[in-house]
Order: sequence, then C-alpha cells, then structure tokens
Amino acid sequence: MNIQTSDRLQDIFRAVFELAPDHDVTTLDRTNSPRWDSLDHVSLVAAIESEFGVSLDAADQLRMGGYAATAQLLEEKGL
Amino acid sequence: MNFLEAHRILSRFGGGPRLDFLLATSGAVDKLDLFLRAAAAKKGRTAHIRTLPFNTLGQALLSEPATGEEEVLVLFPWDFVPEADWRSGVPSRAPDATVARDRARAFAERLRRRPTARLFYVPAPLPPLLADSGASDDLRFWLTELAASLGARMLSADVFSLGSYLSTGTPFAGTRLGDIADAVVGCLLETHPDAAKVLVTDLDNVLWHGVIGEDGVDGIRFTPEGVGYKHFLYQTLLAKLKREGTLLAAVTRNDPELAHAPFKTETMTLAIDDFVVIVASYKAKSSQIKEIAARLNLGLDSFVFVDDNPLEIEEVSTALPQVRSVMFPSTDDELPQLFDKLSRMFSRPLLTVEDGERTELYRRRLEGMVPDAADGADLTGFLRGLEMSMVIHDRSNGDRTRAVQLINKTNQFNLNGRRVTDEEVAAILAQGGRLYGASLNDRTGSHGEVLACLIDNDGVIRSLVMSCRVFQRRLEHVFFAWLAGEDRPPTSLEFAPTPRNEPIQLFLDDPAFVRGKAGETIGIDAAGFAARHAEDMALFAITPPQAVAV
Repeated sequence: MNIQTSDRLQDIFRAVFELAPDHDVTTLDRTNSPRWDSLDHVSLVAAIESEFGVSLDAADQLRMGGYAATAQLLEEKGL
Repeated sequence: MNFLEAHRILSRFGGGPRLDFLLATSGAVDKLDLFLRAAAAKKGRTAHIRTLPFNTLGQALLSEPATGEEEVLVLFPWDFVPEADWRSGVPSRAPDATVARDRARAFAERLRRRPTARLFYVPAPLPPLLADSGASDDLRFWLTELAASLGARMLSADVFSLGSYLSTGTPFAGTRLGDIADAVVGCLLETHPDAAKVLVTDLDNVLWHGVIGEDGVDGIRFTPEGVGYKHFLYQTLLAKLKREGTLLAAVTRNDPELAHAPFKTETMTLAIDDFVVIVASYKAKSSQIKEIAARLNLGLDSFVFVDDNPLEIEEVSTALPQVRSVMFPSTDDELPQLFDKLSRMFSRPLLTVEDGERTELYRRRLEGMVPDAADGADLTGFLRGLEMSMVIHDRSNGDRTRAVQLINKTNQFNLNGRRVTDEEVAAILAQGGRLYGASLNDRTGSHGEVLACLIDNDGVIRSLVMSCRVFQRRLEHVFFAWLAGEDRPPTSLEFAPTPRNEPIQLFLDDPAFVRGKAGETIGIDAAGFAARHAEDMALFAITPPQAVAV
C-alpha cells in the first residue's frame, strides 16, 4: 500500500471514529476502541467503499476488525 | 464526491439556511447521511434529514404528507412488487403476473396522491419471479416504465448493491453514495426545473474532442466514430433543443478565430448560426456568461452551463450560483444521464412556431456584443481542496524528451511561439543553461509533466510553456515563484506575442515583469514575484529537483 493510500485510510479511520488529526490509528481495533459499534462499522465500510471505489462483501466486512486488518484487506484488493 | 471530500466539506462548512426534508426509501439510509449533508453544504445549506424506520415506506404512504415537508422518495422494484424483495428470497410459488401488476398500479396510485414528492427510481435487478424468464424481464421493464410515468428520475442500476442490502439493509452501493446525495439535494434545490432558456456550452472537449488551440481543426473530432462519437451525439442533442426553442451560446478560452474555425469546415452537426453568440476570450467564464445574460435580457436562473473542467464548473457555480452548472461526462456511459438532465431542464410541453425562430431573433439582438472585463470567482478554496503537488524536474541532464515536446507543441501558454530542436537545447545546456520540467498531481491523480522552462547561462528564459489542461490552477505562478527563489534566479524573458499566446500575456501583466523598450525582452523582479505569490505557493506541495548522485 503506498503512502497516499495509507494516509487516506488513516484519515478515514480518524473521521469515522471522530479522532484528532494526529491520532495514531494504525493500532486501532475493535478490542481497544470502546466506541466501535455496529453503526460505526457500517460507516467505516461505506467510507472505504466510497473513497477507494471498492465493493466490500460480507466476508470482507467481517475481516475488518481493525486498521491493520483493513489495510491488509485493501492491499489484497490491489490498493 | 468521495468520503474524505464529503468530510472535508462538512468540517469547513460554517452553516447556512436549513434544508429540511424527508428521505424515504424502504431500505436503511444511514450510510447516506454524511453525503447528503455534504451535498447540501456544497450548496450553502444545512441539511436536516428525516428518515423512516426500516421497511416502513409502504405504511408511510398511507398517511398524508407532513404539512410543508419536502419529500424525496427513492424507489426500488420491490416497493411496487413486494415479492421481488431480495431479502425475502425467491418465492417458491411464482406470483400471478396480473395480480403483481395490479398491486404495482395501486402503489403507484398512492404516489400520485403526493404530487409534490420528488421521486427517484432505481431499476435494480429482480430475482427470477415468474416461471417464464421472458415474462420476468417484461415485468422489470414495465416497472421502470411505470416509475417513469410517475415522473420519477431514473438512477442507474449500479446505484443498487445487493451485498450492502443483504448485510446492512442499505440498498445503496458505497461507491455511489456521493452521486446519490448530489442527485437528491440537486433536485430539492431546483426552483424552476422547466424554466431553463439558454444552454451555454464550452467548446474544447465538449462540443468536440480535443483542444482547438493545440490540436488544430484537423486534430479535433466530432463525427460519429471513435473518440468523436460522444461529442457528435451531444451536438445532435443541442440541435434538437435549439429547434425546440432553447437558445444556444458558447463560452471558451480561445481566440475568436480559433473558436470559429471548426464551424467553417461546415462538417459539424451544429453550424455557427445555431448559436446566438460564441464568446471567445481569456476572461473568466462567469463574466462571459453574465454579459450574455445582460445582452439577452434574461435572468441567470434561466441559464444552464456545460463544461468538462471542474475548475470552470466551480468558478461559474461560485460566481453565479443561479446558473445551473453541469459537468460534461468523461465517459460515454455517463452520456444518458447528462442527456436526461439537460432534456428535463429544457423540457417544453408545447412547441410553437416562435420556438423555432427564437435563435434568429436573439442573434440580431446580440450583434456587436463585447465581453465584460469583470473578474471571475475566487477559486482559492476549491484549489486548496484539490491537494495539488508539483514535482520539479531538472532536465538539464538525462531524458528531456517530454520537455522539448512540450515546447514544440504548446501554443497558448507559450512565451514566444519558437520551436526548438533537441540540438539547440543541448547547445544551450552545454553552455551552462538549465531545462526544467514540472509535473502536477492532485487528489484525482497525476496530470503528467505539464510545464517546461529553458534558461540560458545568462539567466534569460528562452522558452516557457505550460499545457492548457492545467490553466487556472496557479501552477505557472508557483513554478515561477520557486524559480525566483533559487540561487540563480532568471533575469529576463524572451517574450514575443503570437496570435495564440494571449494566456501567457495575461501572466506577464504581473507587476514583477518589466517590459524593455523593444517590448519583447522582459526584466524580472524575482524577489517581488516570489513575495506577491507566497499565498499561491501554499496551494502546492512542492518537490524540488532531486540531487543527482555523483
């Protein structure tokens, strides 16, 4: 994943979870983020689909348990 | 409009008049909320959106609309034929086709009792309902026709995502949320959907494929084949609208002679007499449109502007918000949507003899029109949002092919119109001269190498060219400000006016350029230029030439 894509993905996480612009999201996941609920997850999926022009099916959405897993998923999709 | 852009728009939006509406669809709409608010913010409005609980659209339509509430309904085939809802699975027993149509008509009747509701229809695929697959296809087409008969605006089928619908109940594809939001807000803010009278079109890459100033008459395309096909079709639509009473005008950043040249071939669908006016100058398009409106004595809210350049769209939208600005699509597949939009904007229930004569009447009124010299809109905010970056290449050593090519093919932003051979460039470089190129990137992608600058050993700029594709971005100002701040800033420019290089003449009107007695060699106040354009520098992330390893 190139730096531009990584930056955009991090910006998405910060926007969806309403975090400060300099917040490190690279270690964020469902276990350490108290406000990561199902609605946020839906928002995250929609944001990534919109921003990167990809479709995420149910299996993809299940894998998105955190930033690292999401980045891995997008790399597998060629981003 | 993608997610981050929508987020940025909202975070910078200071608020505006309320835009309250009900967005009703049988599915969930949570994903759309941010995009709807951003679409409204783009129009200066603060959206307050009421939605329905999941799968309650049918019940909601049994009640009267709330007094004064704007309603937008986004409909799917299963709203008319519930058996077609994917979430329920394929019915084991095929519904009776006649009963299904009767039920659909009853649903349509409920919609007809809400004449102020704005309807959208998504012709999503249906599960195979009927035993006869042909009959299932017929049903699908019939439902689309039924929705159209209600005045529903068609969204494309790919707005629907089965994956999203099954996993979250939201039927909308994540990749199309911005488009859907723009369509919904756009239709809510239409004040006079049928009142457009004037269609103002750009020329380059809209009326024809190509740039007349760069490609010449022989290089542009407008016939029904290849890259010209889309533009041929667009011309046929404009010809139809003109026959039906729409006034056609064109605005273009070109010399008048160049703008008229394709019409003189008499091989285009449209002739020059089909236009009430063609305004060709290097002034802002908003000022060109304003002048047309004043001379035609028609309100700007009756104008529609079509351009392929988002900067021009933004400039006109900002300076003249009453004008409806429409992007000319980059792909053929988007053409039906454009045609549908334009046809609705200029829709006429009755045609008269006068409609066919309107163009000639107005042409006589406009003879002798002179464009206004007013400035256009400030695009700084829009340019900042583009997240532009410029990479400057030192082409003094290594591959200079693209830089030399740019010098030899660019006409409009060209310092003196002189062409150079590679040998001439090599000789200047061998004597201590420099050759720079500059590439432009922004959040939409790379625009490639778009600027070249050749400086001799005495600091005289012998060539300075920039692609017309990147006009209005302040790239030339930022490059020059960077150059002016270098250890060996340029001392002068070898300018010569040509019939086509008015764009660079406008650039050279900057007070930092001092014309000599001959009128051609122009002195440079490098420090003054850098100081005057410090704000423009902030629009770009600049990567200076990389040091070459020794």
